Amino acid sequence: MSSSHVDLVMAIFPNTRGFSYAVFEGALPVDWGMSDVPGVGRNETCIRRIVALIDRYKPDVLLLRDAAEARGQRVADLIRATAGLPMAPGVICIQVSRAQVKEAFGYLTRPTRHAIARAIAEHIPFFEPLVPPVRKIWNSEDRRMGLFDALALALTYLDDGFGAFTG
Amino acid sequence: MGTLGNYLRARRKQWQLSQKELAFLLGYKNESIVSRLERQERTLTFGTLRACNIIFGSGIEEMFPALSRDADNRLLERIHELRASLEKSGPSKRTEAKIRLLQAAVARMAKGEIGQETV
Repeated sequence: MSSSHVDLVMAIFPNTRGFSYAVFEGALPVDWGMSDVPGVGRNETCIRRIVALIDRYKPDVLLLRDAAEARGQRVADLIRATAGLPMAPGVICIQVSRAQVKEAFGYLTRPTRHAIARAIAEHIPFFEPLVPPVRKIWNSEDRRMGLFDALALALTYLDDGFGAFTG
Repeated sequence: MGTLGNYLRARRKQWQLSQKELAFLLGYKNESIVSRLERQERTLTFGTLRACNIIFGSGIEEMFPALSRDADNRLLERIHELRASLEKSGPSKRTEAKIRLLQAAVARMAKGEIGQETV
């Protein structure tokens, strides 16, 4: 590994629609997106797409949401299947809990998902147009929130205090 | 210089451009060409490099580090080869001028921290 090597961090956030992802090179976001997978065989398609992303970026660190916190069985299975994927030697796979994300964004008065999304957009202004409006209780969740969930995982890891996770 | 081969996708997404819109700006009819450029599966033309430089305001080295590194290293090899052959041919004012040009080129590359592996 050369001295100029910068860690590539990939965060994957499986959700009910499919998954969202964010790739950071050091503190710089280099790719992000949402992959909606409808219909049957969702997890197989998701895994195929996640493998393609991992092959493309060859991350040093793979971040996933904590499987124990996933509401649905399918999402939990997808997280476990992703964590169980064969990785290149030296790749670290970490499951990040909601509490750790909230701790990283603890400076917010109320670290709700929307407040975290707003904080991310303030930190990285080109995400500003993607921040969804505040959700009304009768509305379903905006799909863009998944993207901010993935970004929050990555930024939680990149936060200094969380560096202790990798030693 | 970063880890990734090119940052075209990052820049495009940063400005919320679709592949179709960027393909149009670069003068391509098909958006799949942008996908191939982002995956480094297609050779970049001068026109594309120039357009990317103007559209995103990023230098070629910054945006396409792997491509720049390869091109610089190949150029450096050729510079060394030509210099060695000039030195063999014996001293003359013309040869000295050419060697000075080659030395200046190597210095420019080193200054720009380009192709450092072999400088």
